[in-house]
Amino acid sequence: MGMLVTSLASGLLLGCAYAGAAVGLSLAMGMARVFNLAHTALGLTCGYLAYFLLTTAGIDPMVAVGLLAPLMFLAGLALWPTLFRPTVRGVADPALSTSILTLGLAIVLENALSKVWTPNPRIMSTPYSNQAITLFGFTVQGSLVVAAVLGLLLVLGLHWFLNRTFIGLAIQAVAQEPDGARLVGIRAELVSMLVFALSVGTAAIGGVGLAMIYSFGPASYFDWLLTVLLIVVVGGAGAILGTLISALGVGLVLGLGGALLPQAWNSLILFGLLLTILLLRPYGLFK
Amino acid sequence: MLEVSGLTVYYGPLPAVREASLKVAAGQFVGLIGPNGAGKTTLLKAVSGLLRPAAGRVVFDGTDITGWPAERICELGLVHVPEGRKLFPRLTVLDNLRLGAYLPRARAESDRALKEVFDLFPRLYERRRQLAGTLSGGEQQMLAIGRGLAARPRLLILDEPTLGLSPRLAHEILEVIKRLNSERRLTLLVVSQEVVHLLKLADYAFVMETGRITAEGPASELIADPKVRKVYVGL
Repeated sequence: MGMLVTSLASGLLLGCAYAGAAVGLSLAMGMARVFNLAHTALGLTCGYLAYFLLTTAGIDPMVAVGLLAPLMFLAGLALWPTLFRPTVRGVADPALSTSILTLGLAIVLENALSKVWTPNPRIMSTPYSNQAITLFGFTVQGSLVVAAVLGLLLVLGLHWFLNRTFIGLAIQAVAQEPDGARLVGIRAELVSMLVFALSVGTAAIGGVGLAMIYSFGPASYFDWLLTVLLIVVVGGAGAILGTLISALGVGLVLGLGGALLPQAWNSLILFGLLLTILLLRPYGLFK
Repeated sequence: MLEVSGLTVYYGPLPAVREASLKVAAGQFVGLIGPNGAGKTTLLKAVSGLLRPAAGRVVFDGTDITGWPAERICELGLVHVPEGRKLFPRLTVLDNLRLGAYLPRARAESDRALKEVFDLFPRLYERRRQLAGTLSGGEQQMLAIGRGLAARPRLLILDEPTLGLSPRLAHEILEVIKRLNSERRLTLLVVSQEVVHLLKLADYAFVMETGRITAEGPASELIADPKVRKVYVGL
């Protein structure tokens, strides 16, 4: 019983961490109509950078996130006019063209990471990585708690930003009715660029979070991507709190499945669930 | 105030508007009538910047705005309330209105603008916390006009503000529009299928058929014109 409860708690924490990795993708898909398959590869790159900062300069990953997220935001601002706008403009199906573009980008990043850091798996070890933390009577891993808090803060912060600030409202306006937004004077193109840059900025937070929990190699982004896509599809693209709820569900399946069933069953359950949801509610559960 | 000359606009491979010219003077209430598919909506979209014209000129208050993007044209005070309303369905009434006052020029006066809109349409005030997508057709139309007014227009373009409304509600909306012109001296360019009612309220009107402006004149003369009566009034 105690073990079951503990895996439940770890599952929820894992869900929060995954929510952080997924929410930016959901934002870009729902609000800028960009299908960014490089989202977790960008996150993984940040994981490696945080690892580098930790091992060479002793900088804590929590501090590294504070440096990397703004840097990635700027990278997003640079990527939009150079790579994305030309790929989206005049294309009948931007989801297809951007997914091919970003798949290519992910593979380039994977090879670059492999070149710089070798294909050997890495583990980020901080003083709190393996420290047992007792929360409400459950004992969980320290790095899991940190990653979960980062993810949760990110999701709640984005939710607040989108619903409580004027720019957030303008972002929703462009997503819901682009022509209507232009007619009230919103520069839809600039807003899309901002959303995309925000999304890339969040990739840093989610990616460093996951890199704190799992050992990672240059190809890990693909495993992360599968789970993150599942979360976004179930939550509904652009639904921020939906992403959180869906990620918590996935975390529970992973946490409980890990305790009760052989590892191989996890994916079977998760993707079985995905197929069912795609059949019944293809636009997501919370949209 | 608005001068459109020789405007040609393609909608797909075919020209939907051919060399159309019209004028709206400051303070005037101008109607634009014509059968479905005549190109009225396309013409308005090219004026407000949602579509780029292939030829011709659009001059607003002495500024040549031909081919400008919609968001810049809005900044000048030419505000378009489009056909189909184009509201933000999953935002509240209040947020839709606030976004109407998005531009700095309008945002400075947004509290006053909101109060004016609620005075004009008390129903919107009752429903201010409701999502726009859950409003009735008439309320959505009020909101669309309200959002346009929040942008502090000097020229307000209304495309089919009465479409899909009951005759009573359609007349109510048209009366409000008339008041905007007579009480606030707001310059208006209005398209409506309520031809008789529109011509009774408007100062001047243009008739559009198959992409061309085929007739124009003071509204009171057009309404008496046997040709117009035959085609649009069904008498």
